[in-house]
Amino acid sequence: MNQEILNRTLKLIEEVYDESMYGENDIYRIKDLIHSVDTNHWKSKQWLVDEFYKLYDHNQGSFYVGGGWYGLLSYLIRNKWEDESLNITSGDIDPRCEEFGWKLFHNSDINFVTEDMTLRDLSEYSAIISTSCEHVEPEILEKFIKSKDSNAWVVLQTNNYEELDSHINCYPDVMSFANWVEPLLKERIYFAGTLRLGDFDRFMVIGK
Amino acid sequence: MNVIFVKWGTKYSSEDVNTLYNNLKKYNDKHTYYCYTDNSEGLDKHIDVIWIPSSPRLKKWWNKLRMFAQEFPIEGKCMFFDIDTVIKNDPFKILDQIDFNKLTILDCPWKTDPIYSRATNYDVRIASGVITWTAGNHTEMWENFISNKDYFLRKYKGIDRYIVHENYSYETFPHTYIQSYKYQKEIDYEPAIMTYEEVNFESRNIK
Repeated sequence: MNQEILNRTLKLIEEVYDESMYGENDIYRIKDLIHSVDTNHWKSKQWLVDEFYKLYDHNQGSFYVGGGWYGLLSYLIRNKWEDESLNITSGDIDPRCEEFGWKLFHNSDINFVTEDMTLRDLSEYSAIISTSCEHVEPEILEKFIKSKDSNAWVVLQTNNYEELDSHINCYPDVMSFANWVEPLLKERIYFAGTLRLGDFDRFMVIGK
Repeated sequence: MNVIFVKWGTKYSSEDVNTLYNNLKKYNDKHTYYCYTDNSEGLDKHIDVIWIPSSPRLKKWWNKLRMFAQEFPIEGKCMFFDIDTVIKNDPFKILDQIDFNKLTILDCPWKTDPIYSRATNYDVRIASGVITWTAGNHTEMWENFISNKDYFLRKYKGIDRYIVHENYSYETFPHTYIQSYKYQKEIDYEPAIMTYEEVNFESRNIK
């Protein structure tokens, strides 16, 4: 992990702890913050950035990250596309994601917003991305994909880790996931792959 | 009064629901019995079915929380029973002591270990194995949950913890209403019900 991000995460953890003493008591955020930057999430998101960079092939446009959590993916996107002419928006329905996103990645030129990702007008984006499809109901994910501009890219990740209560849209393998996504696309799937992460696999589909 | 069971997935069968229904019916066959379920096959024809909708998708016990949604198609007084509840005596006798304007839930006096008070584990000394309320009340529990569902699903292991740690007010049934199968092998009162407390949904403690 990047040293600076580690330090900011630790500082934020301290803030959450202090807040639990005198204000809102939500110390589970500490665990959630740690999970959000753990090795598996870092690897999964770096994998996305590396593969999508090869396909996107230019440095302008605007990316929308749906269910962006505390912003790690947007940060890694910015590191890959350092040119500020690429706009990055990270949306999450959880209001604390916006607050913590700014605190963790304030100098990465990312626009953090609190919103339901299906309520945003996605037609203006050159790519829509979600690495949290396992948390998103198929009906909502379908709406998300169908809302994009027909020429825009869609980059999606899910996994086969069924055990968690919040994982309501897992797939057994990448082909099952790709077969679900493909009919929703105007063109086709350009990338479908699996990242093995020990106890479970992460699947990624990139298409247009 | 509405008596409600929630059956999601395959852990419990329609036969299990029918057994509970028959055990309750012995004490009162005037109530209207409902099963909120994703699969009604095999349910006794006298149990009315309320379908679990496809969206939002919820797993396990989280479906119980939907009973508090404004759109849940029930009116009036409600009493919910977990399917693994064992009926030992008339469970309805207590109802004249219950304030249906409030949420009433099981107390677990056997949870004496200090671990239950630790802020880090969000554990609680109540259980939602039996609940009474009036339909249309407490809808804020569902609305708050659905506004940030994914975070609550990660934070809490079940609805008991959600109810307590999101600071919803509740009353509890008298201690003598309940016996814990696991923790109260010997008691000096006659409980209405025996209950299992399980955090592991995969385990099956019924019968």
